[in-house]
Amino acid sequence: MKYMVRLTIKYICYGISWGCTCFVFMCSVWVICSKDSIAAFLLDDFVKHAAGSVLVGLACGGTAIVYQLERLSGIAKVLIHFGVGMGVFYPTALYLGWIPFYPERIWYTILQFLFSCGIFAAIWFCFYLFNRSEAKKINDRLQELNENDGQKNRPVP
Amino acid sequence: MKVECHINAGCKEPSAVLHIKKMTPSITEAISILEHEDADVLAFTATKEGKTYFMEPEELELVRTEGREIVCYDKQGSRYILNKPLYELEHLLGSRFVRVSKSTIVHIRRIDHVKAGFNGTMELMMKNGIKDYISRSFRKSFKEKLGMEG
Repeated sequence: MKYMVRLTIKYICYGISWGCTCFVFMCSVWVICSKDSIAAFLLDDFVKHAAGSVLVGLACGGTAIVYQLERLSGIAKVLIHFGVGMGVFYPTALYLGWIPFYPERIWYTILQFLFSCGIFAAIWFCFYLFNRSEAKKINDRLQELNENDGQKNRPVP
Repeated sequence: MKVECHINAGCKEPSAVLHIKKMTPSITEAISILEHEDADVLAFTATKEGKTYFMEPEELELVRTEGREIVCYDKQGSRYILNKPLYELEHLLGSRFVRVSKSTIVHIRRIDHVKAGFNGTMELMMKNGIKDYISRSFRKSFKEKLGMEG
């Protein structure tokens, strides 16, 4: 129980820090690239945008806690993470105007949604590639240990 | 490694000093053996189909929680039920065992291979064919136990 509370707090902080970091990074990029127009858009509702970023950070980063839950199956974990992440990000992005919404051009909105899903999948795939390289390093080390064991057990001629 | 041994009949408490470059699994194991030199040989009981067996750590491949039971699997993949909590077993089993998740302890030399899982965890295949996984929280300590940098 204590472990779960600690883990939950850790992931909440992780989500908030992800949200804040992305917000600062995106603000900097926007301010550098488009000067006053975007800066004014952000500064008008700074608290709202910051809170939105924290919320998205919690939904995308904080919900990664599901990967620590041992009772859920692998596919359920991915679906929960993806579902909550996109379920919070997309409405927040539309509401705060991060993504423009044109009711008369529904295909445009669908394409935008698919693009967002693509970004989410790409980030997730990068984590998978990192994981795969970690697994390779561990397997190499295991093989090394097994070879050492084999040498130890080899009969002396 | 150069080993020097001084036999002294008057020695009250034996001690050892190792001069090493870095900690490796073999050295960790040697330390554990030396530290428990005077201790009784560890064996504990486990039950299978109503019969009680004496088990030694080296016979075990994996110990984990399954539902409300603490079970272990031997090299042949036979399943036994243990009557000790996992945290206690973790200390009893010694340095050749490592915790890979909240519910599993494995014999490090009995791991066949690991595989990256699609859900951020790492699948673990034991030599007896039993599958489990390494959770993210325990990955660092697992790698340290293998002598890799965390």
